Amino acid sequence: MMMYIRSLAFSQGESIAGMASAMAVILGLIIMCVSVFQYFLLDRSNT
Amino acid sequence: MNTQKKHIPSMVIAYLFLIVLCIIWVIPLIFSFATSFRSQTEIVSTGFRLLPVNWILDNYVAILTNTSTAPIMQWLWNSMFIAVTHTVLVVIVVSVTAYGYGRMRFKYRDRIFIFDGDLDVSGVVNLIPSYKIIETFGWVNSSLAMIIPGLAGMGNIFLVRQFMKGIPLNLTSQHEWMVQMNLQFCRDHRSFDQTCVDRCRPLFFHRFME
Repeated sequence: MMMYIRSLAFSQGESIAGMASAMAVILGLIIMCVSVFQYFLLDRSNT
Repeated sequence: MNTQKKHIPSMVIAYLFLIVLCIIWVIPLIFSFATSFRSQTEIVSTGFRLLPVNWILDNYVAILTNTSTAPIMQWLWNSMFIAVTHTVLVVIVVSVTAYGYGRMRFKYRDRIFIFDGDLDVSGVVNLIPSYKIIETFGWVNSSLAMIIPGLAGMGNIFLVRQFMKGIPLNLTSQHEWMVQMNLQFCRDHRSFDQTCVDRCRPLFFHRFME
């Protein structure tokens, strides 16, 4: 997905920066969700 | 009191430095976030602009409804499926193997372990042989090629084996009556359940999260 974002934004031809940015935001949200899940899982296991 | 006053200028400089760093870090983030709400025409016509003139959701709709060139939800599912399946299987395979090497007694146990450890050469060296094996099994372009290889990594087995060897053997002595009845398998099975798994749970969890 990161390679796809890079190719959308910076490859040859017209840059499709809007879609690349939207994909980056979605990727960030997905990573955030996984991190929050992992954080709460670890937090629960520590208590 | 005087020492606190002496620290104030350095604190101000430190905070100013941190604020500048924070702005440098945040601006590209805001720009990227704002650009995702701009139309392609606006990006081309206006050039660099921190916030969009018209906030639109077309980019998000296009991405989430795209199922041909970039089906990102399918990619997400594939990644989650492979990661979770591989991780669960690693914990199962590694714990059972490490138990065999660490707690069970059989002939040439340590020699076999050292031999196995010697086989754990660098992944780059194994790249072509691994591909040939995967190709022979017909797993090319399937998720099995990502899940199965590396299940019994020697690094993980070594770690769990050493951890299990640190658990005192007398903790399993409660099942000695089974040994007297020559039910070796039952003893191993039950001691694996009750002692090793309980005590190795943090380690398994650590391996799982990693």
